[in-house]
Amino acid sequence: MTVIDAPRPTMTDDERRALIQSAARATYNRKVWMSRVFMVFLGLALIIALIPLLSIIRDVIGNGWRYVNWTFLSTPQAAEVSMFNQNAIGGISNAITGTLLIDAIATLIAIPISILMAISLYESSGRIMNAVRMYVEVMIGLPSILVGIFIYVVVVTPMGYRFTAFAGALALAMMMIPLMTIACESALRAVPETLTEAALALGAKPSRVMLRVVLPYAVPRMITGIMLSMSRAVGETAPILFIIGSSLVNSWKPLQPATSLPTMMFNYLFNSNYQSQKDACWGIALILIFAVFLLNLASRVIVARTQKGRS
Amino acid sequence: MEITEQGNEASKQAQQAADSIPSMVEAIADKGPQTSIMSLRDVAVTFGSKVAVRDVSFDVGKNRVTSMIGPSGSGKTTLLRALNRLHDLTKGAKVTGSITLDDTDIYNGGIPTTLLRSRIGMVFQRPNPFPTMSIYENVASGLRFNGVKKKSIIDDAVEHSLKAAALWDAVENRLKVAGGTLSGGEQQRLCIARALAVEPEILLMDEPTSALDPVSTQHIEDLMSSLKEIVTIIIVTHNMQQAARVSDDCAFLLMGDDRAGELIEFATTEKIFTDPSDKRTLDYIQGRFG
Repeated sequence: MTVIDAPRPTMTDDERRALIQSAARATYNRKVWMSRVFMVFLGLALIIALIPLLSIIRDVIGNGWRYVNWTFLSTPQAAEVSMFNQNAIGGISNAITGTLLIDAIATLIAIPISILMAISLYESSGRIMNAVRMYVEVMIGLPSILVGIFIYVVVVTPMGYRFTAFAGALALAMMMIPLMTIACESALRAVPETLTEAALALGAKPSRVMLRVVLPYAVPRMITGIMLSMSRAVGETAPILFIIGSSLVNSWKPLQPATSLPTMMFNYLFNSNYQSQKDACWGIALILIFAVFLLNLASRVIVARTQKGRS
Repeated sequence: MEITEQGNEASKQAQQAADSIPSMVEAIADKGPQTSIMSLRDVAVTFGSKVAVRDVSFDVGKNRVTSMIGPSGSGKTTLLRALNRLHDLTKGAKVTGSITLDDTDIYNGGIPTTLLRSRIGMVFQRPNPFPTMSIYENVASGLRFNGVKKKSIIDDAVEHSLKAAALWDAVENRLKVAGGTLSGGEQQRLCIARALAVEPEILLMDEPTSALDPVSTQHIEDLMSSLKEIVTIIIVTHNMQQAARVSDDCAFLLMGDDRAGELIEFATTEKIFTDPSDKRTLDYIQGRFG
């Protein structure tokens, strides 16, 4: 009856068990050794990644720290630097004002558009919406200088070559919208389907399901996405460099030229004859890094707070 | 203080009602559905080209508990979700045959879907209270979804539904707390209260105890026998003993050779479990497969 002419086992059960266990032990030892090797590699990779980052932060803090004082933050830049007192460069309040103004307007424009786009991407699944989603994702990678040129052509030029904070805000909104849209959509997609079903099963209209169940659940993640997009925009230079002009005074007027922190840095570094202004860039850089850090921290705090009590 | 007394009074009444149930069950046993509230005729659900369940015809008796049993893949849950049109959300899903609620076809009879769903409540496999809402708001949500605004009505409905779901005593003093802070069993009763608040005529329950411990399961089962006085219950369950304990009528589904679920037998639970007509039913309830 035996179909397969297999050789009779030459080992007893105990011998076979001993063999398997010693093989398992050898495999385990090899894995422990491999694991150590990989840990070393990973540690090295981490160090290589951190060295430039930490050295930037060390230099920025080391060189920028002396600029962090109330006078520097609250005085506008000096209109003219005297040849005889090159250290009297004033402060950066005009750039802080400009940055706040431009980023605030940009965020106010971007938030409603992004949330509406996210909702429509979430609710519809046709071929057209897929194309829109792909378009939005491509827009994330759009070189920022192109956004600047685009706004220059369609906004600044028709307005008679007027440089305005508003034009800068439009450019930054264009940079933010794709990021925010995708972040908000993924926040909506993270809402458990069972909640949507529960609401529908109670007789809720789709609009109420969105407003009362899906959106409230998604809001913390949406805020995170919005703040991260903002922190990206705060440091953007290229798209606003040649459309917002510059202002030497604290100006809150959207239709006037403005100076922002990154553009001030650019001008100090490349258009100034004074070493004192070039040095002040360390201070500006420190303020910018701190602002981005604060935005990131705030978004984390918001999420941590609202996640409490959710299972 | 007054509310507590009312609560005690109500729970006493509920207890009395619950006590009288065994005799009532005996009184109506064997006779089958007296009046039917929902009828299924040749119902089939397909997803694209795949038939998930087909050839289902039976009547759901008013104020009775109807269970749907069968092994995995027999289409119980799929069938249940056809009864409140939840498949409408799924692309490519199609329900054929006729399902009528009080003689009106729920798919072609002109009932708006949202209105239909407010008449047919649902409790899901895992407790799913709205995490962004308090206990109170969870129960009130169905009313708010349907445009009820008056606070006195909502207050009443919340208390009444929580009592009906035997949860009032436990949460009376923390109605403003998030629903997610309750235990699993309490969350499921909260979901039952949420469904009851809209005063549905039918309550669909999709394996409502499969994620719960035995004690919570017991609570829900006890609850069902008192609930059927106010609402008709259709329950899907994996657990044959549960079907035997809680239901009056029973539908047995099985996956056919073409991997589509089909209705093998529908009868009173007593008949299914003591004297089934189909050999496959007998094999299943005797635990020979599934």
